[in-house]
Amino acid sequence: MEGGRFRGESTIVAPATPPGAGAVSILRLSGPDAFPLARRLTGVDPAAHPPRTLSRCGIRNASGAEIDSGLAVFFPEPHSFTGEDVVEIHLHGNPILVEEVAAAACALGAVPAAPGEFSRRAFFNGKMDLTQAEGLCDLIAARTAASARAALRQLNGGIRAAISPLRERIRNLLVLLEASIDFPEEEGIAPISAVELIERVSEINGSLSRFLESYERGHLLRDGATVAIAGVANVGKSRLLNRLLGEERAIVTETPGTTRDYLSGELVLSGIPVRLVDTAGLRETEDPVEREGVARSRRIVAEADLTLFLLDGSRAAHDGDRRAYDEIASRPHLLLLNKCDLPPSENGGDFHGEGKRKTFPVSAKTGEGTDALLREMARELAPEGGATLSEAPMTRLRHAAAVRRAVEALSRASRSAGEGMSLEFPAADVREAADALSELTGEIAPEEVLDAIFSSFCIGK
Amino acid sequence: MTYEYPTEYDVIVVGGGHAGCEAALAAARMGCRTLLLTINADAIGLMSCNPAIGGLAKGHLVREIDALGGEMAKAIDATGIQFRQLNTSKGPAVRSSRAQADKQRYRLWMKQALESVYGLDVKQAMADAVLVEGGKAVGVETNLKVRYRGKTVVLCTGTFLKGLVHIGLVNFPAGRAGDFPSMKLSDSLRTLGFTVGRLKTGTTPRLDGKTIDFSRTIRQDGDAEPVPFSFENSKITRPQIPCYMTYTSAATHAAIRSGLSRSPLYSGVIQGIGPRYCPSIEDKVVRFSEKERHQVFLEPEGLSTAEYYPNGVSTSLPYDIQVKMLRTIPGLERVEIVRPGYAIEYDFVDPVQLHPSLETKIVENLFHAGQINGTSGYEEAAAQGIVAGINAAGKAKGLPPVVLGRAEAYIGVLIDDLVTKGAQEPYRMFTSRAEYRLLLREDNADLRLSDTGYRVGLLPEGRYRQFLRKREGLVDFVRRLEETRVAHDAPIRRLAEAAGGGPVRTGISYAELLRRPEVTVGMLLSCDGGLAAGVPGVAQQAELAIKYEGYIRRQEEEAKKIRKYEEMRFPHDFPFEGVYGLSTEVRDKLVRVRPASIGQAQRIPGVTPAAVALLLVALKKGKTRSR
Repeated sequence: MEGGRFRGESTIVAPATPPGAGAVSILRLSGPDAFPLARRLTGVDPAAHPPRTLSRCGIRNASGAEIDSGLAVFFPEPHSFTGEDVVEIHLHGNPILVEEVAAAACALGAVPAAPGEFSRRAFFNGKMDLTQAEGLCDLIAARTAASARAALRQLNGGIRAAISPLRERIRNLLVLLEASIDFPEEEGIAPISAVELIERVSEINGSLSRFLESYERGHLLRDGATVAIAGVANVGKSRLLNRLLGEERAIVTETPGTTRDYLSGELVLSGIPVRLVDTAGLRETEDPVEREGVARSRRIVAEADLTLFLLDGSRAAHDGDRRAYDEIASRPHLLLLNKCDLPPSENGGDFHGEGKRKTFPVSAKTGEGTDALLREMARELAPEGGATLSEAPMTRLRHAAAVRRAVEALSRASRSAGEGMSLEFPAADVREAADALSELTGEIAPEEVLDAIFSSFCIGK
Repeated sequence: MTYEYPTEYDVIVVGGGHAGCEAALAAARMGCRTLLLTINADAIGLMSCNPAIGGLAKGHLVREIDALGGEMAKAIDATGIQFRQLNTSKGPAVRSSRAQADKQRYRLWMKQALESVYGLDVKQAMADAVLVEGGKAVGVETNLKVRYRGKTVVLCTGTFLKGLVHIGLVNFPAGRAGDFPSMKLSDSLRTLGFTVGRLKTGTTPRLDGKTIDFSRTIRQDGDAEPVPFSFENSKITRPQIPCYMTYTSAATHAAIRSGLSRSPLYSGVIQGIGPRYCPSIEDKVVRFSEKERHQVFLEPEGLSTAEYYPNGVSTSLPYDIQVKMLRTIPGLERVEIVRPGYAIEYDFVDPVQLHPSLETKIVENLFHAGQINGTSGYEEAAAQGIVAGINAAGKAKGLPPVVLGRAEAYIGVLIDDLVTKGAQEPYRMFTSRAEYRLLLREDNADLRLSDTGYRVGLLPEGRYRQFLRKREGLVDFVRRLEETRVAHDAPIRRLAEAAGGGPVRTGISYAELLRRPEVTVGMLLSCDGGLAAGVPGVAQQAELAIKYEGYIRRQEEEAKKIRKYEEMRFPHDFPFEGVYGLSTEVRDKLVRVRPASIGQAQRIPGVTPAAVALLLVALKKGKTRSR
């Protein structure tokens, strides 16, 4: 472009790989502070390493604790995807890790990338040619349609319902402030007092903060949850997977250890996309292939949001069951007694002594008990179940960042009013809060505030 | 037969109101051979409505005009009869100046200002048509069939285009009560392809002061120390006079209701859309029927007249109702009306048909400023006038246009709003229209705009030097506040601690001390004689810069963020019709406005972020192709 290179003022961060568990996830940073930021996160000095080559590194979270080991690669501008300084951090493919490192980057000053923002920056910096731009154009068009539908779904029942009343309250506050500022001589417009301002702000902020808490649960709705099926060999894990998915996926035989690798499938519970993962039986084995499978199973279980631990209810539990159970006992789990179509020999009583967890008799073969199991899984993953959905939790880091910005701006308004600063200063903060929420629900134009003033007050000498 | 006037002008301004005067003065002072045509040479710079300049956000505009080298501030400083600072209980960004003017003296000052510039001809004539050759304006033709040739034409027609005055159900064509209307010019614009609409405004009756019983009203004096508008004036010497306040009553409202059946507004005679912020008294009584009374300010029209302007009772009710209604107001029991109040409908030209330079998109070298663009207010008009004058002169000289940004000036907000959103009702400036209100203050208008005024050749050398001294003084004063440390035995410590806010540590800078809400620069100056700022106004500006640093910096950063979008410009012939992927609705909006930049496109109501992304792609593709 004629105007020279486009430079974003901010450094943006986002995962470059799709959400969900996988071998590797990549977190990408782009912008003027990408290098110093990555140095804080990985300990790797970009100046000391050749560009565009992988460096082994430890990866730290916001509190500085090392949480993963991975790789970092630095792309100094302009030789990067966006044309800015870019860093890719390769982590193990756990969405929780990715989220944590992204949050750490944000704590250090990065901002979550808006949808398509890497491409946008790349585009502005002339990193794409005509055909790529054409491709991007199609991509944007397609994604707009899809994201419009997704957004609409959210807007209809969701975030809009929760945010709109808050946005309305912020707008009303802004109307009072602007009316006091722009029409000081009109009768009937009593200037809003600092005390009233602070009171209103703190009410709104209380609601916003509660809404912010919903992000914890809400992002599951978007990024999905992982549920592992664990237990020793031949308790019917693969069959249960198939039963729950309603399709034949795993090879089901009577020989223990048939499932050497995990298999997985998707289902939807209370609107949460759930990745159901079948693990190889948790048992000690000499077979190197199977041993590798068991090791991976352990990782899956360690990262899962919920584990379904299976016992064979038709036989008494043995030490293998107990050892396997001990491995998952500290993780969120449900205890299942499979093969309830056969005469029972085990009630799981030993397995949850003080916890008094309920056991779920199921039959992967006949399907008995699976409805109750699915309901319980939904309750476990989203404790408030249906309420979670009607309250419309926030699902993205971007949502949370916008609401956080609103909360911060309102806190500033409160502080300024408390210090006796005149109205236009808190008004600037309240407007910023309104703008932040507008990113979620649409614009608050200055016209809208003026319209409200004209319709509520008799203006004009 | 037509008469080709022998002089070829650089700039021809049609209209001698607040926009026309600034436009003509700007062009002529920039060295252009300039012609100003007015229907009535005795009505140059006339205040058709309220005899006052300034007000909330409008005072800001006046100071910006002054910083660019315009006339309005100097005119009101010379002829003001009551000055007031508004919003003094609020902060620095929303404080505004307002002054009552001696209406006739103001007009004469403005006329003289025009007459005193060589190269500027003032002629009484009625323009009937804009002359266009090859898509470019080349002059105007008057009703006497005189053709004036000019490289550029600026239309500042106020309420004169097919002006129709309403008093009750009586109506008659007039540019303003007592003046001829311009019946042909807007048709000439329609023929050229412009979308022309109709707006309405109104004014109050004028009252004979000797029939007002002021003892039944509340006297309101101006500020004891009037503050001038212009950066070149340090004080106001003219004697100041009071205004008075009274109220309507239940009897007033009953009188008004008795006349509604003959109101042109309520009987549907008036088609044009009026301003909501300046409603007629009948509108206020109908829409806010629960209000028991409304304020009425009695404002003198000048030192040499007994006429009063009753601010608050703008009306188009029949004459008999106006008399009846006014005489129910305390103090006005025996009032005589000199001139009745009236409503006026007039043609305006949808301002989305303008470039941000105020040049029309349809006809090159043609500029529009003031009420023709759907605005109301003398200050809004003058603000557009000076910009249109600068850009018409620039065009004649082959210079690039001057476009002020939204973070730079209220003038920038005003023009951007007009060319981006159009005018659905007469547009008035409010501080809440500005996103960067904390940056756009009256006190720093010179800091924001003097460089531009000087660069285009409008702000005189002497004024610019004075400004540079002030700017240097400010930098120096801020530096001294940051470098001077509070000594152990400094008197300011006791003073600041006495003001509250806890103990003052030894060794902190004056600047740090000033950030405490209860500490003022006045306190520092009173305690430290060596600190004196030297240049007037500097200490207060330094105080603002330091005290509100956090807020100012946040707004500056925000402004910087959006600036890059302003710099992504569409070529003039950019095919908005053909942009891939846009919805029909968004496309129609873009085709109507034809935004100059991505930034402007983003501000068109209804243009979604996704649409902007598509525009970015299309813009980039276009550029690649043209290489």
